[in-house]
Amino acid sequence: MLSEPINLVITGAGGQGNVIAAHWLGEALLRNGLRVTVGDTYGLSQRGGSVMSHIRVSTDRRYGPLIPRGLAHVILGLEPVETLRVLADYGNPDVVVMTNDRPVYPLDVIAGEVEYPEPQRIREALEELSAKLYWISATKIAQELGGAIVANIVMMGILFGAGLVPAPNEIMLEVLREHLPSDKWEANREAFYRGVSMAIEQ
Amino acid sequence: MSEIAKGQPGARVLLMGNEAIARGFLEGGVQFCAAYPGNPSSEILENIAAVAPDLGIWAEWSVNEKVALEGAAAASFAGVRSMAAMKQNGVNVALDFITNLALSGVKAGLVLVTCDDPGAISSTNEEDARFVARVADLPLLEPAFPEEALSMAKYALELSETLGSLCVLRSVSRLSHSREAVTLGTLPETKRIPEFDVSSLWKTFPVAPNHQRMHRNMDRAEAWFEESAFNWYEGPDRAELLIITCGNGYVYSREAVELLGLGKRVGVVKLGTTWPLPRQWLARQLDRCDRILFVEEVDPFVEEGVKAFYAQNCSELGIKKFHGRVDRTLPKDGEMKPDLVMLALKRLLNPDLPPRDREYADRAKAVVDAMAPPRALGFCPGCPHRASFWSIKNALKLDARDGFVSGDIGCYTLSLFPTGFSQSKLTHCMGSGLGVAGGFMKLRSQGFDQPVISVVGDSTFFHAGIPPLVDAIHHGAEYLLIILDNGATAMTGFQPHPGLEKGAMGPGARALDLESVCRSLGASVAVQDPYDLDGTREAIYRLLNEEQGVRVLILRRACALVQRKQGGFPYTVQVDPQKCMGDDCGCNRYCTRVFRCPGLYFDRTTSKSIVDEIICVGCGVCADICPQGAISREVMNHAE
Amino acid sequence: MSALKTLLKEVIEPGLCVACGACVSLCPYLVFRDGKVVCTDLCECEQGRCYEVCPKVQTKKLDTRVPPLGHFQSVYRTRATVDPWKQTGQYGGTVSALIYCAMQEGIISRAVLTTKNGVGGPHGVVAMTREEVSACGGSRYVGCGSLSVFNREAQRSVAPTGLVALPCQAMALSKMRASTLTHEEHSSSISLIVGLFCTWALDYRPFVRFLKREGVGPEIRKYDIPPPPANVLQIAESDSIREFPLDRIRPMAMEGCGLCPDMTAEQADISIGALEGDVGWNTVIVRTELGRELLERASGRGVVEVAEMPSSSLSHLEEASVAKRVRGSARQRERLNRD
Repeated sequence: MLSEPINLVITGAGGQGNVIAAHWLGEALLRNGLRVTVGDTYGLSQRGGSVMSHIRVSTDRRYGPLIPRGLAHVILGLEPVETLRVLADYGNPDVVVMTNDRPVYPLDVIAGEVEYPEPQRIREALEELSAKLYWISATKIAQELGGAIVANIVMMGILFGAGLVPAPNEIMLEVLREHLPSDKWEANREAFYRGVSMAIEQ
Repeated sequence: MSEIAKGQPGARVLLMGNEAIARGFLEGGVQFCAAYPGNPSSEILENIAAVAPDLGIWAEWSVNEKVALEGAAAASFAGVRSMAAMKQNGVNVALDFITNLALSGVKAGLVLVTCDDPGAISSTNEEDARFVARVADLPLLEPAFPEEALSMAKYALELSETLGSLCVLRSVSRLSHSREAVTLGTLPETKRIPEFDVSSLWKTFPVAPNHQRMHRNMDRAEAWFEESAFNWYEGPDRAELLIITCGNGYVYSREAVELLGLGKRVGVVKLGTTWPLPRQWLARQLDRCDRILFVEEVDPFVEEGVKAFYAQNCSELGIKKFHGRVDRTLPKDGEMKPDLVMLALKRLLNPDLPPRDREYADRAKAVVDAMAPPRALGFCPGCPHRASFWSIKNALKLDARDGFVSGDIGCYTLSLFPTGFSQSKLTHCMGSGLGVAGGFMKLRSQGFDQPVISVVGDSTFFHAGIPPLVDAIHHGAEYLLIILDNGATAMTGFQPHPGLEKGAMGPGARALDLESVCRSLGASVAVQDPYDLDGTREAIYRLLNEEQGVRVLILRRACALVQRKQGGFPYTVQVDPQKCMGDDCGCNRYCTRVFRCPGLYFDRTTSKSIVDEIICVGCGVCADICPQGAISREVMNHAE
Repeated sequence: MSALKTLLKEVIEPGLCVACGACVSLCPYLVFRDGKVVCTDLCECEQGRCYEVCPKVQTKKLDTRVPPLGHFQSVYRTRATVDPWKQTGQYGGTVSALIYCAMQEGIISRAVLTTKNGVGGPHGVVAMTREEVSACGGSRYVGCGSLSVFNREAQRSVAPTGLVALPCQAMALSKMRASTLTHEEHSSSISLIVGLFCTWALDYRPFVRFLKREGVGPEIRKYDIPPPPANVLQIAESDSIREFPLDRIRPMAMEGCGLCPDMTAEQADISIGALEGDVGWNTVIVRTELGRELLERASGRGVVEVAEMPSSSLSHLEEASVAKRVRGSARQRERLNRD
């Protein structure tokens, strides 16, 4: 088990839904009897900038909404470059990294002013800077399951499957079911379990 | 259903600071709530408004923060508890009323919530609004975590009512938007009936006796704060260093002390009542130690308050050394972080620590600097502002008289950057774009000959744009005013405004017609759909050349995110690679490099533009950009 | 630096653009509007067609061995002998007559001419019929960017096109043909260049503000600068004629015109202008085989009358041409030294 407080970072590009994902994860942890603080950085960042949530988990104590530098245990990224960016501030040699491999191109890249690194290079850098890397084609899997929108749920599954979250799958699914539209539930549930089994395999 | 209404009394619910504040007010019996949208404060009113109709209380998005507070004050004068919420800039807008309301006093509990934004995460400035407590002699409460925010909101209403004075509750972004488990209390069973006692008088003069009354109130408040459970001390009886902290600084300081293993050497004085300062209680804490570090944000508000009373009493208190933002032990600007507190503690106490492994941090930073492209802010795909500023840019270039845009506050503030073609040259605060544009035009008689376009959003226009427009028409300051009407207060979360037929509590409000308002003031008015690039450019070009009277051009098209919620856009967009000229002379990546919509991406392996189907929303505007006609838009078959 | 940036730096920002329109409509970055060439955005192409075709870009030193009127075969005086050219043309009406004749003879299927009026002032237009050619008769004296219309049309379809070109425009077309960057289909449309004599052209925007202040317009029937000693610009509206001393008009001439060494459109197939001392005739300089053949056919059809050029008029023309050449080169040197 990770030492307390457990520090998780969920990161992505604006509009990807990582703030909601962090919220739901926080709820699941709370229901499991833990003390949780979820801190979000958003606002202007919704308009395309980077978005980050910090999740602090403890059995008995309250922690602040910001993880001190270099103390993240897990970094869950919905976008590969954002995952890399977060490592500079919050990573350490023991960090576990899990990321979706699909780029969301920043505006300067689209305009041809800056290069977006080759995915393979990002993967290598993440491997070098972490203890373990889960490099997941979550968007591709999501598209097979019915839509890119469930990519985040696949990543949640990875997180739980890796055994780093002090809460059972069922509680997370309970929270998800309450918040997701019922006609999409099967696809989301499937996505979660795909993530779980992929994580276990790695 | 709003999170704050879910769960029974006693339940533990994950709430963000703003939700906790909203819940605290409800538990405290609030019946009139007013606010203007502003990050990080917006969720307070949003959550109250979601339950207001069921509870039979009033919640509104006022046209601006001054009106919000004035409305809340009326409720208070009528014996009903009320609150007004805003970000730091809102305090500036409401300040004239605040300073006068402080003199007149209030009847039922009235709380002003200010949510400041240290580090300007989503603000134009970084401002510590706690100054208002000192300027207007008002009691000030600062919660340190969401659970405390709930209890303080409730307490603030009672405190305000007992004192007969406006009370200030201060939060910051990190508190407002962080979530933790909060225990719900009970909601009141009964409501008060508002009634104004016509024998009462609510005025500021004679000023001197009222001012003295305010000072006596502060003395009473201080006496209660001396006993307050919101202030406490953690640590050894005698310490080598005392941290005096408030707000988020408390949780950061505790964590810093723990991480550095300084629990036996450092004590933490946690203040929740930060004005007036409980001086006797503080004096007792100061007795524990001769070295003090202040951890707060953004200004050294508590630091200077404590130093002032220390100076008054130094002979009794003895020699002390103070550190904080003033001596730059902590940076003088920017938000507080646990790392900054750790750095300060290391500098002051030199704890015995193993040398920190810098190697990883340096390596990671080097990799990120080399590889990770920055992620600039930009308009969403399909945003009508992108189309509007495209047309503005082209029209100004065609006009060729060094014309420019005086900008304002909203999503379109981003027109300062390449996403909006760097059109805006000036941006300050809500509505300032019009006043500044007017000033330029008043220089005509002295030889100023450049055309000026003032650009403002629909919500901002109602908030602060009408007085300067009146001024411009009266003085003959003949600029072109472009109102970007996307039917929402978009940047802050799509709150309604006076141009819409709904209010915070749902449909039933009356919509003001933008055209009629402008016309009745004496401006000429034209309306265009910004998606029609040619038509919009021609309209702006024509209006730039007309130069008779103040001209208003309304560019009306719903916000892309709203359009998406309402069923999306009509088109599938595609690039024909045969026609795409890519990098060549004649195109040079016009759609991706110049227009910069994230729905289009330039594939360097094929040297062609392609549509990113996940990002593109199908607005179809880019089809009118391509010089080769390589971009097509087809009406989608909705049966698919 | 990109080609466009260089063009901006060397020509447009210093105010030397003469609104010929050759750089416009090849790409979205350069636009012609109300008499002015405007750059709306920056392009990053290292090499660009805009820079290649601009007549104001100095490519080589002036060859002083060139005869005063440029290279030519012969000089005549001519006039149109049939309507509508007799009525609608300037002076002898030869330009319109030859353009239409070229259409009838199948030398060209369309012509790029200039409107007389219109929103944004005189501008380029495609003519394919007698009426369309006739509507464009007469001199303008204003920069009108008509080559932008050629660029647009040539990209739409390849077809033999006749152009009526000022000296700067004829130079631009010549550069267009010579440049390796020009698309083959594009330059293959250039079939016939009818040049016009020119001393300067007016900057449209200041000129139109001037007219507005003077209460002239917006519809202008005809412009004329009568022969000395009149020294005025005559502007005919529908029912009146206004006159303005040239001293008030010349300051509105485009600055770039002052650097131009070419009075008689030396790069054209056939160049046409006024005839000194006789407002009913034109001076015609035949330069190429095509020009000679066109004049011959027009004469054969009985559309124009061709006569001998009086020698005194010819030498005066040569003097005027040399004077412009000398002035133009001197100003160019001045500019180069200044920069």
